[in-house]
This record gives sequence, C-alpha cells and structure tokens, in this order.
Amino acid sequence: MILGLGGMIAANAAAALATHAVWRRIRTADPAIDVLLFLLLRLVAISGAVMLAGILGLLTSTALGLAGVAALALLLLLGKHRDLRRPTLPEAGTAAGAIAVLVGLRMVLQVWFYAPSSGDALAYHLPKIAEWVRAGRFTAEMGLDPCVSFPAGFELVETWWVVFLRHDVLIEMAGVEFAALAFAAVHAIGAALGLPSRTSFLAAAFYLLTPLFNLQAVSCLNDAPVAAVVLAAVALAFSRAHPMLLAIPLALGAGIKGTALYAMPGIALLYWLRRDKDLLCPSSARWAAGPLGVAAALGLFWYVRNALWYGNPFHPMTPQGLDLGGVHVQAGPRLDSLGANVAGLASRLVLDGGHRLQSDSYRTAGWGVIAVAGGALGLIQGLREDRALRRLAVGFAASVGTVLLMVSPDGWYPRFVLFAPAILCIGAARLASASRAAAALILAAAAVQFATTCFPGDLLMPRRLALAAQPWRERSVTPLFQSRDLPRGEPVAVYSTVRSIVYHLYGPDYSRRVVHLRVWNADEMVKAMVRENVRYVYIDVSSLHRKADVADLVRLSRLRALNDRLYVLN
Amino acid sequence: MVDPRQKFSGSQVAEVAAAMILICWRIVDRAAENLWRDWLVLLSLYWIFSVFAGKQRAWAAGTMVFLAGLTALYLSSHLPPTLQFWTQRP
Repeated sequence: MILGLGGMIAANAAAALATHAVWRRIRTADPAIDVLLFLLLRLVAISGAVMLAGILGLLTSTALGLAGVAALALLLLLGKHRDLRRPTLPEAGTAAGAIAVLVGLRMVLQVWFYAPSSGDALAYHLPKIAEWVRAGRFTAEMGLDPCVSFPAGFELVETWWVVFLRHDVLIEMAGVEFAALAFAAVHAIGAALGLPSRTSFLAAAFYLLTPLFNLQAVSCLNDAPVAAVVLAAVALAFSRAHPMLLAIPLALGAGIKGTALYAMPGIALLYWLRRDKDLLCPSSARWAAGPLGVAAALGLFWYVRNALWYGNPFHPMTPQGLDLGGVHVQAGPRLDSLGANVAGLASRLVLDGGHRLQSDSYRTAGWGVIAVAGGALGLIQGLREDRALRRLAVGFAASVGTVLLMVSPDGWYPRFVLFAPAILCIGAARLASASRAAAALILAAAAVQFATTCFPGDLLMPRRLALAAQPWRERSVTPLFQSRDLPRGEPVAVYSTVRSIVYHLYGPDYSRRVVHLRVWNADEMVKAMVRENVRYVYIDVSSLHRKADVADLVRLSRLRALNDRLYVLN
Repeated sequence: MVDPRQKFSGSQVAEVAAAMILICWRIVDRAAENLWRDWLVLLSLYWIFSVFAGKQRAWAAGTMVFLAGLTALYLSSHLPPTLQFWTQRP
C-alpha cells in the first residue's frame, strides 16, 4: 500500500508537470480559458495513460508507479519544474470563496467516507474497472449487464484513482476532477460574458452546489462528467477558441457517454453566433495537435472496439433503441419525447418534490433552489439587458432541446441536461451582485441547498452512516446487502438475468474473483460452477421458471440458501 | 410604476406576448387550480412585470417578492421528501 501511495503521488506529479509543459505551449491570451485548458489537458493525460496501460497489459500499480517515477525524473532532469510559476490569486469574493472551500472540503470527506452505492455504478460502470484492475489490462469480461459495452471514458479516470492503491477508497476523486473542470468552465463562461470576477466565481460556486451535480460528482456516475465537458465546450465556443481547442472536450465527452454528442448542435450554434469575435488561438497549433490526437483516441476507442467486437459501434444500442427491463432507451430524435421531457421538467421535476434527491435524478431535476428561484429571475433580467447572454442562452436552449429530443421521458432523464443549470447559476450570480437583499436570500437558500445535498438518497441514512463507520480498508456496501454472508476471499459466481448490483462482490481491494456465468438454467449454472471451482453463487433471475429451477436444487440439497440472493454449493 | 402616457416599444410588446404564450401553454397543459404554483407561470408573470417595471425602485421590491415566493415554492416542495429521507429507516 505504501509503495502504491508513493507511485500514485509520483504519477500524479508527473502528470501535472507534463500537463503544465504542454499547457505552456498551447495556452491562449485568456486566463480563464487557460485554467480550463490545464484541467482538460490533465484529464486527457491521465485518461490516455490508463488507456495505453490497459491496452499494453501494464495496468498495475507497479508498472504505472514506475512509469510515473521515470516520467517525473525525466521531467525534472529536463528542468520542467523551473517553468512552474506561483499562480496569482483571483478576486473570487468572500461568498464564492466560502462556498467553493466548503463544497471542496465536503467532497474530500465524501470521497473518504463514501463507497460506491449507486445502482448503475454497481451494476455496470464499476465491474469493468474491477476486472481491469484484477487482470492488469483491459478485459473482454466486463460483467453480465447489457450496458457494460457503453463508452467508459470516465471509468479511465476512476481507474487512475484505484489502480495504484489497488483499492477503491479514493475512487470518487475522479468525479472531483470533473467538478473542478465544471467550476473552471462556468467561471470562464462568466468571464467571457464580461461579468466581474466576483460574479463569475459566484456563478461557478453556485453551479458546484447544484444538487444533482454535487451528488453525482461523488457517486461514480458519468452524467456530471458529461455536464463538465459540455460546459467546457460551451466556454471554449463562447470564447471563440480555436477549433483544435474546442474539439478536445467534445472528443473527451464522446468517450464518456454518447449523450455528450447530443448537446453538440447547441455548441456549434453558439460558435457560429460568436463569429464576430476574434479567434482565440493557442500559442502553438502544432502543440495542440498532440492532446487533440489523444482526446480523439479516447473518444473513438470504445466505438471502434464495439464495431470490432459486436459489429455495431453503438452496441448495445440498436436503431430501435434498447429495452432494459421496462425502461426503453431511445435511439434517434422524437418530437413527442421533446414535448414530454420539457413539460415534465417544467411541471413536476424542477421543484424536486417527487422523490428524495438521488444521484440518478430519479423523479427530480436536481437543479436546486438557487437555480430555480434566483437563477431563473436573474436570467430573465439578464436576457433583457445583455445581448451576449441572449446568445449564450440560445446555445444552451439548443443543446438542452437536442438532448431532450434524443432521450426517453423516463424517470431519470434530467441527468442528461445537467449542464443546463449553469446558465441559471449565472443568472443567480448576476441577481445577487445587483441587489444586497436578493444576495442575502440567495445565500440563505445556498445554505439550505448545501445541507440537503450532504447525502445522496441512494442509501437510506442508517445505511449511509453504517457505511461511513466501517474501517476504510473494508468500506463497501457488502455488509448492507445480501452478500454479507460471503466468506472473505472466497470466489463467487454470478447467475443473473436482470440488472444486478455486483461490483461490491469484488471487495474494495478487488481481492475476490467473480465469475460471470452465461448459462441458460440452474443445471448449467452448477456445471459451470464446478468447472470454475466456485462454491458460492449470487443469483438474481427474473423468470419464475428459472427461480423454480433454483428452488429445485435447494430442495434436492444441491444448493443451500444463505439468504434470498446468495447460495452455496453442497 | 407605469406612466400611462408611456408608449411601449415593439420589443416590449413582443416580450409580453411571448410571456403570455407561455402562460397560455401552462393553462392548457395544467389543471387550473395548480397554476398559482406553476414555476413557468410565475416566471412568465415576472417577465411581464420586468417589462413594465424597468429598473425602477418597484423592480427591486417586486423582484424580492418573486424571489421569496419561488424560494418558498421550491422549499415547500423539496423539503418534505428530504426530511422524510433523513428520518426513514431501512
């Protein structure tokens, strides 16, 4: 663990130094955009390192740690550390500074005391990371869930935060990196609007407090990262950055989740609306080609892999969409979806009263009181006064519209437009800057919003507290679910025909082998378990026939039930 | 607040018309008894108010009224499920 920690520190230092060296060559004349570029380049660097290591079979603490030490030594020998300059502290203002520091500190605590608990993360985002880390390379085995082949750009950053320690205690740091990116992006948008520095920072701090963004950032889900890269692209488009720079977040977003692509028409429109502005060029277009090439590879990799493996770059999506146990994932635009989604957002979801706040936005928009109250009023006033803000709003509206055109009006769709509250946060910051009384009320609302977003509703409070009370080495949702009776280190098979939460079976240190069974009935399951030398099996099947098969094996004493999911072979 | 002799520009008329269209959509889309607590209706009313109030003293007072109202509307909707979550047992 100590060596892993050393490797992680060295690799992060090397990544930061290498990022800085490239950033110096491609930075622009705009300080707010330059901060954004630095954060984007760092994400490109660490994602690229994990992807390369995964392809080459070097995805281990030792290999990446040694590579980090070697890279750091080389960069120091080349004197790259001498180029580092103490950054000048911006004029952020007390309120924005306090919110950013408080949210930042809370995120650090959440990273430490939380373990992955969101259903989608446990079902299909994270099992592939567990398989990669166990194998030290990218694997064909990623689990049984139909969604395992979706793009995994965010999982690359999560892998960066687990591979060195071979433990997931810091896995939520990946979301924190994207939260920093979103903060910088909203600030850059505010700066491009010509807002005073304090107002831009306040808008960025308000966005950081957006309930759904806040909860997603520490829940191992990829909609907040998508929102962050979309906002980065908006900032670059609105600042009329060179197309090579603008393409970096777009490529990165495509590799995180296909929904990032749905927002692109609005970004293109925004870029066109700002055509009267001078192009913001990088210091060296030649140097920008490198990061853009890596970002393009990060974006395309998953689609090329799926085309080669499954014959369909968008697998498991088909032209007819995808059915997931009663939930239909839409493929292509549908006007009726747009109408239903807009009406649903405006009528029910925006007031966040349908359900407790969860990181998957179930029956809530998760935009928060700052955006819904002060943000909306400030935006209306701003739109009446500021032509640049009107253009920005047209771009945002187009992006929100195209995303809502492309997604089904199910119980979870607001997470796909998580970038939208950013413009409302700009409105809230404008209003707070214009009126002391409004500022007082908005900040009071911000305090309530801070309090109500401390705990994602994915776990009920007693379970959340029980999770936080575990020793960090063992912290996992395992004791909270049916896998608590699984002996330590004992391999386990999974026989599942529905979406099942399985990531926790690997253990927080990925020490347990998990065998995903692709079988048709309980007899085949037993044969496969014997063949794989596995005694325990986690069973989650939907059909009554399959359940009856399992019950027969229990009656014949071939299987023994430890609880309603976990069985052991006699 | 508004001088009756004042003439409104075309853009102001267009703004009021757009806000009225939004209100009409909400009337068609929602039950009438819920309109008073409809987010878009309240925003549309604020929009119309802003057109007439300009940036005069009335604007600041009116904005505070709308801000307090929207904040109360959101919290009255959001806090019950949140408080229930905090006290709910598995």
